[in-house]
Amino acid sequence: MTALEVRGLAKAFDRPAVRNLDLTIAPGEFYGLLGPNGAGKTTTLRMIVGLLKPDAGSVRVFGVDALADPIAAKRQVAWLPDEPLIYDKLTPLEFLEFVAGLWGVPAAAASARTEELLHRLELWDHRAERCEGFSRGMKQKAALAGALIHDPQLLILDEPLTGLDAAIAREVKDILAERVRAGATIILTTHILDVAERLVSRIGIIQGGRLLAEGTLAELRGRVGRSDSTLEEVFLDLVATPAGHAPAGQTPAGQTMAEQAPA
Amino acid sequence: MTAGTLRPDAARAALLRPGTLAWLLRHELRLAVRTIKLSSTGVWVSLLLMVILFHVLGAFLALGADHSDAGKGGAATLPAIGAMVAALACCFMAGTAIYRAMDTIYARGDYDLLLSSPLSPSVILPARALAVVASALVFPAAMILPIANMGAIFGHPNWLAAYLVLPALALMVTSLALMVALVLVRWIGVRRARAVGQVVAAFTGMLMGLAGQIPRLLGTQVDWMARSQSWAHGTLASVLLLPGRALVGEPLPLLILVVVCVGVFAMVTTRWGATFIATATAAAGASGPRAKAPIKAHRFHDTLGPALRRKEWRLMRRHPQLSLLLFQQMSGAIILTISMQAQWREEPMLLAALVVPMAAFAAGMLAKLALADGVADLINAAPVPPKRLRQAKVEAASIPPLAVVVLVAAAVGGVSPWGSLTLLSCGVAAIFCAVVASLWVQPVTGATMINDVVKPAKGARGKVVGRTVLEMLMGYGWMAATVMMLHHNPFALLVAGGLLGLVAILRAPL
Repeated sequence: MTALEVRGLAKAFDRPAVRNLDLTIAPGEFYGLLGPNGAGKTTTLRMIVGLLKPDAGSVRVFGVDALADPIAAKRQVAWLPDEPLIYDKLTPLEFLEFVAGLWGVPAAAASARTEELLHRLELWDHRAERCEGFSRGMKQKAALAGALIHDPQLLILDEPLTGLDAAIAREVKDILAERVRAGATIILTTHILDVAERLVSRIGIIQGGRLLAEGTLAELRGRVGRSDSTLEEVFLDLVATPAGHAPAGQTPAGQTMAEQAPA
Repeated sequence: MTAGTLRPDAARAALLRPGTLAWLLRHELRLAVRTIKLSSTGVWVSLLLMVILFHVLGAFLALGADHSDAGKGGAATLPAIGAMVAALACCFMAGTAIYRAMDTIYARGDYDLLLSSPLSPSVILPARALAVVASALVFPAAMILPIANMGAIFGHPNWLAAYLVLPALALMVTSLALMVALVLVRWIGVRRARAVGQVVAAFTGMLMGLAGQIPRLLGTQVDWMARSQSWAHGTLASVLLLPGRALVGEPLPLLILVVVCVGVFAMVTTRWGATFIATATAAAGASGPRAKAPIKAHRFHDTLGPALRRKEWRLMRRHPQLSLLLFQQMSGAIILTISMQAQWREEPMLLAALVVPMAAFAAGMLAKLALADGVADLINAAPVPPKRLRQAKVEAASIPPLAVVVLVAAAVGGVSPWGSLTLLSCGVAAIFCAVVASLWVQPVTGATMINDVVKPAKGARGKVVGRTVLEMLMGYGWMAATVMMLHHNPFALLVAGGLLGLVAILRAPL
């Protein structure tokens, strides 16, 4: 069973944002979805999470059809955008109590998990202070605690490291790596390509709402023909190619880099 | 062109030189114009209809004022009417100006940019104060200028002085409002001043309504008109009637009023600029960490309902404008309470019946707060059906006013079991109807949900206006039903049936 299976996903606002997108992500995978600004990353993730209704296509989360049974799919998913989803007027403790209630975490487990997460994220001493006085990094940590409180099997993170200082960013990266080691699946978007290079096991590059390339870093290097290049160089090479601007249907979405690479 | 004379474009460039008041005002004006979207034909047609409607009403009022002046035989009455109109306008303007002045201190907007620039405080404060003047002026101008226009058509061109008097009064009122706001912050501290200021603003706005009830409260049958005629002479009268004389176009009072108002505004904005900047800077830190409260053992819940309700109640309790919003919602009921004092002294149950509209208004207000979730993406990403979320929010909004109704009904129970039952049943129904009216406008939780998952409801803006009318109708309608039931009037069932029928027609997704 796949952790996430997206088929023919499409969404248009004033213009097409996501076009006929296919993604397949295995359980325990750390997947990086990269792309330039306006490529359709956030739209894709919002459709997967159930915050946006697709115009076409299907989304399956651990075998559950997320469009037909969104509640069952949402039980296994956590969503962490770049803007922390927290209530400024609540304390971290009150916030986690609420989120645990939303995901139906039993009281005893929620209490223990809250204490563990707040200690781990160094928020324990601030547990009774309202989030309105927190720095951006502290707010993002509180939001991360909220995303982890129900022990999700699929974590979807949209630019989770934006605006975090080096120490907090390191902390967040460590926690994400731990979650993957524990068997969770993570999809992450980021513009910090060094982070993606070090953290993720597979990369999808999206541009103009289409999947431009997909594979491991080695496979992507093979695609551009530079075996010693960094992810940044590979990325810039790929998004600069005319294929990124190809009309719908010209680039088979979902095809891996290895499949697309010339023999 | 001779040397030393600026060409028009050079003069304009000098006036709009970066850093000047005119330059900053142009920037503010540009932002304001772009905020108000006047591109739609519907907006223009609505504006035109409103202008025509106000002028029709203005024609009646102008004729009435003219007639009363003629009836009293000359110039004695018009300045008094003018002074009353000016006082009413000042009350409205003061309410808005205090509210906006507090907002000017606390809302960040582009303050960080302005305050970090080398712009002089004596430029920033007048620019911000003029924005307050403009917002304070809108409503009174919309009400009074059509009367002046129609008065001019009916032979009183001097009434057009209102075009000078109202802005002058707005300048004066804004200056005072800024001082009130700054003094409040200094006296009671940055944290509490905003909420207190908002209540002061609401109270000032309804001051005329309350003042009108003072004779009733005194309970004496005084001929106030005759008494005011006897006060019409003397120093105090000449000061009090000055705005009225200016409003009807007497040249000297008009000149004095304009000079005094502009002078006060110039003095306050130039001399208090530094204090304003210091206060706004202090307000920026108002959302910093609070003193730590003692940490209690925290209770988690196995079920969704209590977690959702507790979260909603916490957010309601900590909402910075809750007291103001409730006060505004209930201001009509408060005036009604005072004005009905003769009736409730004879029949105390009528006073208890006021709990019904108050509970309905409170429930509607709390429902609006609960339904407008600030972190919509979080709850929309949660594995909870939207219907369950709505129910939890409705429960959270309904329980506090319901508790008040139950308490009042229980207190009344010892005196009149029928009264207690009536209050309870009508209170519950009024709360239910008020909440449904809120859901009618905002059927799903959170802005994101409305925009993304569900198509935006057509005519939502019209619904917002409709909701306000509905809330009034439900609150006072159920009060009428309560009073009729207390008097065993069978028509109460008709009223109650009508209100419930109306709610059924709305088909809100409860």
